[in-house]
Amino acid sequence: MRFEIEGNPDYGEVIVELGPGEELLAEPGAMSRMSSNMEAQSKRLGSFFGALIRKMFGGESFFVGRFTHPDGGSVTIAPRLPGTVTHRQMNGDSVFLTAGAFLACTPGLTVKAEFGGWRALFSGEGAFLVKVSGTGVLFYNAYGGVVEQTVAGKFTVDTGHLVAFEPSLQYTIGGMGNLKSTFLSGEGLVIKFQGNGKVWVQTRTLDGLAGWLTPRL
Amino acid sequence: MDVNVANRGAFGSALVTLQPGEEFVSEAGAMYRASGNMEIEIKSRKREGSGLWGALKEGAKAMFAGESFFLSTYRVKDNRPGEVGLAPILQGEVSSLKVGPETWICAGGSFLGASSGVELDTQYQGLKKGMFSGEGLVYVRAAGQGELLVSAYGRISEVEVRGGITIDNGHIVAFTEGLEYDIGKAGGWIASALSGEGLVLKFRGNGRILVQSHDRDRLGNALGPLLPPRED
Amino acid sequence: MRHRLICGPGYAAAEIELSPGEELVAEAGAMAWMDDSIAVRTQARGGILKGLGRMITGESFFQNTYYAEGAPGKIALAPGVPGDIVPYEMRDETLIMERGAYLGHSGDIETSVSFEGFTGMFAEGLLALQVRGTGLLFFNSYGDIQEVAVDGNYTIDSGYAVAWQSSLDYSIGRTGRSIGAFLFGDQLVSRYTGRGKLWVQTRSPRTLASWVHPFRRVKSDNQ
Repeated sequence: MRFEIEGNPDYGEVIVELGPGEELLAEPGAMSRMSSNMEAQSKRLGSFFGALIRKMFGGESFFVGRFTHPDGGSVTIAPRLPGTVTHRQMNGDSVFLTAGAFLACTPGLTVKAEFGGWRALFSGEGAFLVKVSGTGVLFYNAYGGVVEQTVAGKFTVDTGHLVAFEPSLQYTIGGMGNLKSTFLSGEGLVIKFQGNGKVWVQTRTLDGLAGWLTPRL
Repeated sequence: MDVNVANRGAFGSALVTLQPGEEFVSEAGAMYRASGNMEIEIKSRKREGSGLWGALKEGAKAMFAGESFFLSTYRVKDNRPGEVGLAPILQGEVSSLKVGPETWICAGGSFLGASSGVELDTQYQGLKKGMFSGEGLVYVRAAGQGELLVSAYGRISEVEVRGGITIDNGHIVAFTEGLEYDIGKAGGWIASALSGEGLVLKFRGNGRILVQSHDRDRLGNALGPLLPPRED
Repeated sequence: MRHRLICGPGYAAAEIELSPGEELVAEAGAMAWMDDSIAVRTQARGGILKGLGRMITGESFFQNTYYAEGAPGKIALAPGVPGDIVPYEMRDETLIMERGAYLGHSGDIETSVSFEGFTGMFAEGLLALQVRGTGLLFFNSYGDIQEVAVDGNYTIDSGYAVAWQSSLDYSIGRTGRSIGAFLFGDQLVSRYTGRGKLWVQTRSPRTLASWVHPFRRVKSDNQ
């Protein structure tokens, strides 16, 4: 498999050249163009998700797109929201992603839902986490630009701005601080990290766009 | 006339400089800045055979499909050059295309503007009917002679047809007339429904195709439910 | 206090480093990430009551003040909409800006709501923010920002105005025709005259609101 990420940092998309029989799994609706011999198939990832987890990948389904052909071919994948696309070579390790950040991966990786806690469950989109593990190539996206933060101690991220983080970090999901600030600050939920490891954050959120647009409707 | 396209970072726009006597047309509402001597005339597109209400209904549908019912025409009021800046609705790049050597078909939402020598057909029904919708997809055909401005949601790339290429309907910006194509699904019916893939165009033959990196509908479907419900 | 812009001009965010004793006021919801040493105070906006007092549905009534406690720390502010940020040093002056363009500020700056426009057929105009004083102001755009040095006159569609110096005079008018209640193709334009800086953005919140209309859920009788 060969791939090229084009369009970064503003409009990242992944152009993948698959060899005969090679497979790419991608989030629903991600295919933008492909060689005409390719067909989109689906693969059910149901065994990985518990009944409590809803709204994965922006929809109710637990299916992902599956692209493969006995002769090989090309397929271009684009995320739902524009921004920077990152690839990560996985070598038996793990990384946490927010559900909306998952774009595509090779079949050797497992994607498991990570329960972010009861408060995360009811806060809506973006608070759900998935743990990606195994060996293969992972593609994930950010809405807007992506910034890497090296945490050595403590760090706070608005949940909508979180993209990914390393499993070496501990985290709690909660409000901003005191009760008044939590409800009135308009910040919603934040994730507080502790320990040593990397966190990847994005500079835009879908909720932020909705909030900005609402008074103008 | 000078058409200057600027694609700075994520947001493209065009600045059109007109000499006295020259005219430029754009989707109404695309103008964001203009020199003081610019005259702007807003015309409705004529549609034969339908009354005002019919035309307005068509216009409303057309507007929501990405094309305004109204076109603005720009010309200078005095004897000096003037400028008008045109911008699309969403973020994304703008491209300028030459009409004449080729006739272009612009996908819904892609048409931004054109010089006066370009003939615009906004009820282009040359496209085969969409599989699940009762009507044809709304495309604009640009023929004649002149310059055409298109906008994209995302980055614009030109792709080669080669042995054949399948493009998701939401990622098409424009293509030249003469290409052969079929409308279909990306895979089997059920597989496509499950994998979230929508309508695709399968192209064959000779011509040029401009694609965009991102799909407006995916933004709309993600953003819409987060907003307060609408009255109508 | 130090600041830097990252990920611009498409999706700009402002990273500000505060030392103990320094404060940053920001729009509710603007905080994207911050160090542990940054603390927050939430208060009602005083400025709201000074202007026409018109609250728009969906807008927050509160502002947050961030400060460093015990150790310096950094905080990143991100607007809701894709576009750029301008860090502007105010020197005892007044800027008028589009309501949603305000991101945050530090220093002796006051903000108040004002109604800029005319009550025409549809009582339309611009609900703007008057920003006055001395200090560092952060404002953002939907799209790219172009700075225009107006000397004479300049016309822009009102939806594309981000901010302008109060030294400029301007009037708001209409262009084109309106057919009954249909505003399609009708444009509200602002004509600026005099000398001063005008910041123009390359996208309009109004056209985005129209575009997203069919994607919104329809209100049912039960809601």
